[in-house]
Amino acid sequence: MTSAAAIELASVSKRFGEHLAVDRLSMSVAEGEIVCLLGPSGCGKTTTLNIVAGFLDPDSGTVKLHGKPMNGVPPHRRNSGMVFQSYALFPHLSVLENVAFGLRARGVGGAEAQSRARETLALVRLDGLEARMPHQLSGGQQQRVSLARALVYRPEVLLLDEPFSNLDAKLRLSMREEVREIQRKVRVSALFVTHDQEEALHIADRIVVMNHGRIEQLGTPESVYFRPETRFVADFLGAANFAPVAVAGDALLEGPGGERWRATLNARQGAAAPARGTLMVRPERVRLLAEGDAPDNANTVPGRVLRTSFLGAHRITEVAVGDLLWRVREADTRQAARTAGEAVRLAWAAEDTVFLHD
Amino acid sequence: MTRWRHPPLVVLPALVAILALLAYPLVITAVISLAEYRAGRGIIYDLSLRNFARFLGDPYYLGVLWTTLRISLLVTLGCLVLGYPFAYWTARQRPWLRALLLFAALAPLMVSVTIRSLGWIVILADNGPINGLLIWTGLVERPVRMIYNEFAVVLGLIEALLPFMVLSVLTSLQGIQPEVLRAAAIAGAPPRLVFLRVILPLTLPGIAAGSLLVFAIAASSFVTPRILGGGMTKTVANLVVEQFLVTLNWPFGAAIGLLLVALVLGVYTIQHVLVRRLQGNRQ
Repeated sequence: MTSAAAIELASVSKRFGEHLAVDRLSMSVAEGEIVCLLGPSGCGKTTTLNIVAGFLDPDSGTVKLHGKPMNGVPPHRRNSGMVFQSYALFPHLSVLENVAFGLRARGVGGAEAQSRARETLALVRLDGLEARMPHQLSGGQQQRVSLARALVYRPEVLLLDEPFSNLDAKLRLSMREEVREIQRKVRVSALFVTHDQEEALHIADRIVVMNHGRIEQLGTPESVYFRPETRFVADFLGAANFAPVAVAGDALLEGPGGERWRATLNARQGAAAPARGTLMVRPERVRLLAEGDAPDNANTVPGRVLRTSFLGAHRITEVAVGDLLWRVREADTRQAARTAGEAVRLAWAAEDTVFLHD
Repeated sequence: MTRWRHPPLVVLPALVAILALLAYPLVITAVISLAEYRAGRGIIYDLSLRNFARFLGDPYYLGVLWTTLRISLLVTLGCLVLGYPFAYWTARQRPWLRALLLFAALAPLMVSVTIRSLGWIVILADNGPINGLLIWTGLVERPVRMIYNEFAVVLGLIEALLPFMVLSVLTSLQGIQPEVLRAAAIAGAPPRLVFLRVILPLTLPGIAAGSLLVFAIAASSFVTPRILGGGMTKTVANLVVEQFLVTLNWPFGAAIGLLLVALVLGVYTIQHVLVRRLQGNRQ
């Protein structure tokens, strides 16, 4: 038996006045999977989440949770859990009552609701704080209560709306790990909204990169990072070096100065010669060589060092390549930095070369 | 522990105003209330509690006190029943409409309470539009008496004091984070439960503040009861005015005034304890 996806959106659109917030978006979240909606503010990711939650009705398209059509079904009948950026705890209820809220709403009796709420609080490591009021908790603790409140009634899907944005950097990292661990443990299907690419790469099984209400790319963290399909995705996820190129053959690109660079192109891209496009290579995939070095099996381009920045665990060297600016990220910071003005050669492997259509 | 600090200079004018315009007159009133008034001789300062004893020992005055309490409670209830739904609905409108509705709710405050009471007389009169309609539809044969009774006083006061309730409830409604209501909904609470378990408890302080405001003003109002009660409905505030301006028995008037203050403070205390208990007293 093939089970339906936990969340399935088919050609969903939502318009606010003149602004098309979500544009024929189709995607799904498989059972037990955690999918991230990633994009800049205003890209439609939160609108999409609110449509799944039932706070907004789509103008067109269908929303299904575990195969059941959800269009027009109010939020309280969707059996979903949600964690908000602002925590949104009930300020007049204790921690225990906050967590038990969803159970009480489902008619679970007082004693059972309390014991289940206690169990869930233990899951988020907040046992002992049951009697506290929300305003007596730190931000991280409040977000744990919010997570427990969303999980206690075993929702079919868990929705998270930028849950860590109000936390400080260190706490954010540990909460990320914890949420992922808990999500795996209770095997809840989750849809996670964030504008933080590192967070998305860290936490997601699959990432949906969104821009202007549309999906730019959908795939595993590795695939969207290493094989971006558009310049927007390449730019939004991590740092990227770009150069304008033309397809010169099956696995060959021609640089702005007539350079020949090898790339792994798919059949469609190879056949598109002499199409113009953009070459992308990640800064950590580029090596800095002395001017004369020209290793086999590598693409190279000459450049001149502009400046270097020491960042502890790594160093960024900015290099002028023609009229382009490239960045090289070196993991070995014990080596002496290059001096500004030095002539260098940048080298990178064919398999790290990504061709993006314009 | 917050350490006592000197208040900043900017509160000084307010402090002086409160001392000069509230505390000082109150002390004077208290002193006068302990004096005795003798016809033809004026106020004699042989301090005693006789004025309080006279009021509390006379069924007539106790009846007036009860009428005042009854009217004030009815007015508070009426303002709550009318004001809460209006505030609730207003809070959910888009900003420009909300501003317009709030203005509409507060606009009556710009007209003197005397004028508004006289307006009610025109509307409720035996030959007014309401009676005209009732007779025309054949529901009644002769005009229904709607002025110069308690009904008219309660109606007039509700109309006059509704803005205070609306403003108070609206403020507490707007203090609720919208995500909190969404969190309740997604957790499985239908709208009715969201209201009972989240919105109502969170607006309890607003209800309490609005109710107290309305009650206190209703209990001490004398223009509306005077005009719409037509002298038939005696309230404590009217007694005070009568004692000061007609009988010239200032000591007795002062004592009645202080009893009115005590009544309001008593209701405030009860209300405060009640709200604390309803909120679980956990703050």
